[in-house]
This record gives sequence, C-alpha cells and structure tokens, in this order.
Amino acid sequence: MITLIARFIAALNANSRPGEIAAGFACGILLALIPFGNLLWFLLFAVFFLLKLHGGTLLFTAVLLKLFIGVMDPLVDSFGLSILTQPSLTPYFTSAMNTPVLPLMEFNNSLVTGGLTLGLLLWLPLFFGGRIAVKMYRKGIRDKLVSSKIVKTFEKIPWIRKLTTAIQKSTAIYHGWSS
Amino acid sequence: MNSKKRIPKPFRKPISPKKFNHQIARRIHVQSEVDFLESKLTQDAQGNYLLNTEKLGKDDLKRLTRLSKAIKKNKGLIVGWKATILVIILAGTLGFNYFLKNKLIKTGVESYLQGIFQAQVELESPDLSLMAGTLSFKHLSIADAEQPLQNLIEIGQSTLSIDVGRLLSKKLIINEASSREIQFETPRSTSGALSASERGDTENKQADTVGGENISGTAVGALEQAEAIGMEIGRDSAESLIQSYQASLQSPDLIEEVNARYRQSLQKWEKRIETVQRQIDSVETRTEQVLATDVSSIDSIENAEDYLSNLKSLKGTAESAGETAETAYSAFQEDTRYLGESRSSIEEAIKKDIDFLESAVGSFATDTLQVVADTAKPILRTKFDTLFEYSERIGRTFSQMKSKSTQKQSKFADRGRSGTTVSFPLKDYPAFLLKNFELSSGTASTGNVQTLTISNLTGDQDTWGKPTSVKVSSDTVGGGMNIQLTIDARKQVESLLSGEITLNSVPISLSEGLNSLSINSLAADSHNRIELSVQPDLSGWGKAFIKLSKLEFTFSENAHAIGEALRNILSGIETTELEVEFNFSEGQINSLQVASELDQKLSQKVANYAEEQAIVAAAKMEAAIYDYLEEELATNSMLSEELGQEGRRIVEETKTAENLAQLIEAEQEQIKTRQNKIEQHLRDEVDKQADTLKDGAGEAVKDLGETLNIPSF
Repeated sequence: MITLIARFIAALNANSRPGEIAAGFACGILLALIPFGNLLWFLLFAVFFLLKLHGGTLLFTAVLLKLFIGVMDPLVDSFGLSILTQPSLTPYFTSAMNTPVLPLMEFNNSLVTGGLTLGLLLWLPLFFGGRIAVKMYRKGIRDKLVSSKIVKTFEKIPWIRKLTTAIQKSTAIYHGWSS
Repeated sequence: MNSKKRIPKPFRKPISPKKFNHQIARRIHVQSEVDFLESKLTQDAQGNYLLNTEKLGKDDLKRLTRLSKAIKKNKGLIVGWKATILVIILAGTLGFNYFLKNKLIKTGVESYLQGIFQAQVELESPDLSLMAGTLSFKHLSIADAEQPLQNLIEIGQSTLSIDVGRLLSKKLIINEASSREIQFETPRSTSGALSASERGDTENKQADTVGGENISGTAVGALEQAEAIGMEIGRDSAESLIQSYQASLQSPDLIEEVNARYRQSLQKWEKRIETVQRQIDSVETRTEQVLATDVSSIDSIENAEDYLSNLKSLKGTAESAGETAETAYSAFQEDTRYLGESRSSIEEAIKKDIDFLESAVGSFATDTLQVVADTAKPILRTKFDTLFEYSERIGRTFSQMKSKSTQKQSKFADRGRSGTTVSFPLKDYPAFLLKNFELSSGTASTGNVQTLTISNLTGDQDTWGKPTSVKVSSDTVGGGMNIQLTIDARKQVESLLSGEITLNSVPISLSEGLNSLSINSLAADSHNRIELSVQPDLSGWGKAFIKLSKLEFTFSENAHAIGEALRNILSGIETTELEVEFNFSEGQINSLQVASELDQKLSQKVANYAEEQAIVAAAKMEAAIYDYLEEELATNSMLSEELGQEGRRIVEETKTAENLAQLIEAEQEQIKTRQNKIEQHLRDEVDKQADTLKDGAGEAVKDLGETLNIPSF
C-alpha cells in the first residue's frame, strides 16, 4: 500500500503527463465500482494495462475507493437494477446470458451493470477533472505544500520517511520533497 | 567530445523551434523542469535551440538524462513494449493459424497414420479451429501396404465440431460429427508403398510414440479406465451404475436395517407366541380336568371347598394367561406399526435413489469427459510443461468465476458486495449432446450411397427438448431404402418410437405355391412404406403401404378353365396397392387389417371377362339354334303348304256350303210362302165359319132375351 501511495505521489510531482494520471484515476474508479472477480473486471484491467495510463494511480484509486465503495452500493444497485429490468433490453440480456462466455462477466448482477454504466458515464468528467486538478496542484499547491511546516513535521515520522524514500526511488525529477 | 557523448540524444543537435515545442516542451509537465531546460538552451540565428555545453555541470547532465527519459516516456497513448508484445503474439497467432497450423496437422496426421498402416496416407485440406472447436478435412486416403495400387479406405469431407464454450460448463455438445463418401478398397493411380526413408522415419516416430506412452503411464491407465468404463456401461450399464453409485444410495442400507429388524422381531415373536400358546394350552387342559368332575359325587364340605378353590385358581390362571396374551398382542402391534412406518420410509428412499440414479445417468457423459481430461493431462504436461501449468491456473480461475456465477461465493469476490442478481431465462443443455452425426459410404457417381444420420442424441431429452431421430438411407441404382425413426423418451410424450420405413424398387419373385392356379411364377417391383408408433409399454400401431409394379405372371401351358380365366384376368394387371393396418401390444401383433385396390381391379377384370365370355356364348348359342331349327323350318314349310291346300279345299267346301245354304234358303222361302198361303186359306175358312156361328148365336140370344123380357135387348 505504501508503494502505491508513493507511486501516486511521485506521479503527481514527477514529469508524468496529467492525462495519464487522470486516466488512471478515472479507470481506477471504474474498476472500484465494478465488483471484483468476474471476467468483465479482468478484461477491463487487461485493456487498461495496455493503455498508457498511470498504473500506480489506477491501483491506488481502485484500492482506496474499494474501502468506501460500500457506501455507494445502494445507488449503484438501484441504477444497475433499473437497466437490467428495462423490458426493451431484456432480449439482449437473455441472449447474452445464453452464450458460453458472456455470463462469466456476471452482467446480470446489478452492481456489475450499474458499476460499469456509472463508471463509463463518469469517466470523461473524472478524466478532465483529474487533469485540471493535477495541473492546478503542480502550478500552485505543490511548492506551498513542500515548504509548509506540517509537511516538514510529518517528514520526521518514521513511516513517512519510509514513504519519502520510496517516492525518491520512484521519481526521477522531483527534488524539493526531501530538501 | 567526451562531454558531448554524455549529452542525451535529443539535445545533441540543434532543435528547430517547431520540434522543440511539439516534441520536447509539450512533453514536460513540470514548470521547474521547463525553466531548467530553457536556461540551458540558447537560440542561434535561425532560431534553432542549442544546448550550451559549456554551462553544463555533472548534475545538469544527470538531470538532462532523466528529463530526456521522461520526454520519451510521455510520448504516445499506448505503452510501446506492451503493444509490441501484443502485436507479436497476435501476429504469431495469425501466422501460425494461417500458414503453419494446418500444415503441421497434415504432416503430423499423415506421418502418424503412415506409422500405423505402413503405407502412403494423404490428407487433403485439414482445418483446425480451436476457438470454433472445429476439425475438418476434405479427403483422406490410406493405401493398402500389401496392395499398393489400392486404398484401404477413402474418406471424403469430414467434420467434427464441438461447442467449446459449453466445455467450460463441463458439457460435451457435439454440433457435428460427420464423415461422407467412405469407400473401401478403391484403386489408386500411384503406388501407395512407402519409400525406404519414409519407412525409417515412421518407425522412429512410432518408437518415440511408444516411449512417450511409457512416460505417460498415467495416461495409459486412464485410457484403460475409460475403456473399462465404456465396456462396463456397454455390457451392463444399469447394474454398473448402481454399483458405482451404491455409496450414495440410501435405500439399500435402509432396507438392510429394516430387514434385520424384521428378522429380530420374527425370532422374538416366535418364542413369545410359543410361550403364550403353552400357557393357554395348560389352562385349557386343567379346565377340562376340573370340569370333568361330577358335582353329585362331592359328598363333603371339604371336597366342595377344594373344588371351589380349584375353580378359583383356574380362573386366576386363565385371567393371567389372557392378560399375557393381550400384552403380547399390544407389543406385537407396536412392532408391526414401526415396521409399517419403515416400509414407507423405504419407499421414499427408493424414490430418491431412482431420481439420483437418473441424474447420474445424465451425468455419465460428464464422468467420461473427466476420464478423457485425466487421459490428456499427463500428455499435455509432458508436451507443454510450464504453459500447461499456466493454462491450469487460468482454468481454475475460470471455474472459480463460474462457481461465483452459480451463486457460490468465490474467494475473489468483493466481500459484502452482493448486489441483486436478475434471472434471465436460460437454455439448459444436457451433459452430453450429439446434435448431428452423419456417416455415408459410396458416392453419387457410382449411384450407390448409404447414409446414417443421427440427430439430437442425448441421454436427457427433457432438458434438450427435442427427440432423437435416426435416418438410414440406401440409394442404389435400381432402388433404395429409407428409414426414419424418432425416439422420444421425454416425459408426457405418448409415442416412444415412431418411424417410417420406405423400401423402393425391391424385386419380388415367387415360383412356388401358385401351381394350383396354373401360375408358374410371379415377379414384381415393390415400393413399401411402413409407419410405426410404439408406446412406452411396447403397444402401438402401424401401417404398411405396399405398391407392386411391373407385375409379371407366367402361366402353365395346359391350364384348366380356372387357370385360363386367371391368365386372362391377371395378364392386364401391372400395378396394385395394398394397405395393411396393424396394432400390437407387448411386442406382438394383435390385429391386422388389409385393404387393397386389387379387389376392385379383379372385380372389374372378372366382370369384363364375364361380359366377353357372355357375348361369345350368346353368339355361339344363336348359331346353334339356327342349326337346330333348319329341319323344323322345312317341315314347317311343308306343313304350311299342306295346310294351304287344306285351306283351299275348305274354301271350296265353304263355297259349296254357301251354295247349299242359298239353296236351302230359297227352299225355306218357298216353304214360308206356302205356309203363309195355307195359313191365309185357313184363316179365311175360320172367318167364314165364325161369321156363320156368330149369326146363329145372335139370333138365339135375341130369342132368349125376348123370352126373359130383358129391356136392353
């Protein structure tokens, strides 16, 4: 987990493309919304693995959000259920369910369908929002944060020191953090 | 030069402003880094950026190196090395698929079969598709090692197609298994003998294969196991299944337990009833003895008291024996009530066991699949080593995902996130299904084709929802045969077996048993169609439609009248149709009804024959009558002449008679005239006399009146 946090922070501060981090963030949320352990999840993960997005951010967002995703489940469940019970879509779902491989995606589960649809709908806003946020962070917040007293106090905590070392290993650009 | 060598590649040469903006500055996303780079660059007269190497320190070089790596990393949307691997894998797969796979199969199959048959084997256009689960080839010929210019066997277009997706659900669905145009011992244009080098190769490969088999001893074991199971099932499937699943059955143990209880009860009750019986016998004997005593013989009070006490004791014993018997009876009822209950639980257990065995029969194919999988495992492990391990892992993950989809919680699943599962109607598949099986031998060009087709073969028709159908057809130059059978073992279906058998142009020849009809032989072509419907209790009905064409009779030369008539009647009949309806039960025909148009045809022919014969007979009769009447007619003419003469004589006589009559009449006139004359004469005389008298009487009366003085006078 420390490595994931380190990779995420390193990416924020390093010369990584903001779009990569934002895509990793949006895809991480998509993966978090879909319950783990079905073919759809693995397929999406494989596709994301091939694309140039920040893996650390993706995993960090996915793992972090998994811890709290239960709060959103009622919403995702009702959203997924409303899609699955649409009479006009029933023939497509039925024929998909009768194919050999597609049922392994467990799309008949409201959380899977709801999570996928919600994740796809949110993907573009999250991507653009994430990009803006990274740029804003790099422009204004980062330097202030580095020179703040709170950070310097935190640096003295042993596990934060460990995290800092990890970040240093991960980044090739940033120097201000440890100075 | 040394310092130049250390400068990262993008900054070694002057950079145009366009290149700097598009390929460098756009890929640096940290402002401090942009500032650092700009501080190290100077612009020449053309505006190109140049790295000021004099200002560069050791740390600056390091930073530039890291920056150049970051610039390179921020290029494009796809990770280069991952995409390369993917492209290599895809290209490799496609290349293998299109250029190598089928060639490998061709070479492998041909060399393997050559090793077995020691003769040339040619496989044409093999095609394997793992994703589609299809293996097919266009033509396969195996030469005969002993007769090189002859093929042992030739097989035409053959296909094996399996539903790969359903294998994930442990269901073997064979979409198609077909082999067409199978021919044996066909001539070859080239010699099928192997050259010396080919023989050597195949022998070596054979040796390798044997070695391989030794290594994979488990595979051989599994094969033997599969064979044993197959033989066992084939020989005595029901008993084998019951034995294999005996551990899972409830009823045998329960029956054994209840039977033991029965035996115990039986032993116990035999003894107990014997005891009660003895007790009651003893009381009976005593009672007889006591009651045999003559009461009048009791002469003292003591004897009376003794007698009374005897009676009392006897009563007590009898009552006690009665109570014992009643108690025993109650206990017996209790025992039998328990055994009765046990019987109903046995019936229930048997029902459950039957259901279980039915499902076990349905899953037999799954077990067979398991055996096949066990057989393949060691071979695959030897051949693919690590790759096989990985595939096993993937397989395990798939099964875990599958187990989750069947509502079983997977270890991968998110804990606490269940959601709502919406059920969509699923088409269930049986554990084993052969959708289409076809075998055909011969070719259309030779005009001799035999085909066997089986559709929807499964042990679980209720799940598949379709009956099994079997078609056998044999088309020959002269005729052919078609059999269509439908086996429907589904619940609530009336007909277990229904079918149609058609036999076309079957020659029939009879030469015995028809002599009594003056028929030497009978030959015909028959076209037969039989419809059958069999119920599960082996009762049913059937219909046979028989059409005889090209009917030919040969008759004996010296035929009697009936034979002659038959010759005439039957000679014109070339075709006829028969319809036979039959019912059967318990496998035996119990009613038969034949309807034929032959009756009508024969009636018509007989009628025509009779009419012809009648016309002939009438003509003959007319002629005979004319012959017969000729003399009579002569006599008749003579008599007629004679009669004419007589007539003429009569006419003459008549004339004579007429003359005589006239004479007589004349005479009569004469007589009459005479008579009238006489009468007139007489009348005149009378009148004269009367007048005379009258005058005399008048005178007398006048005299008398005057006498008597009467005034009127």
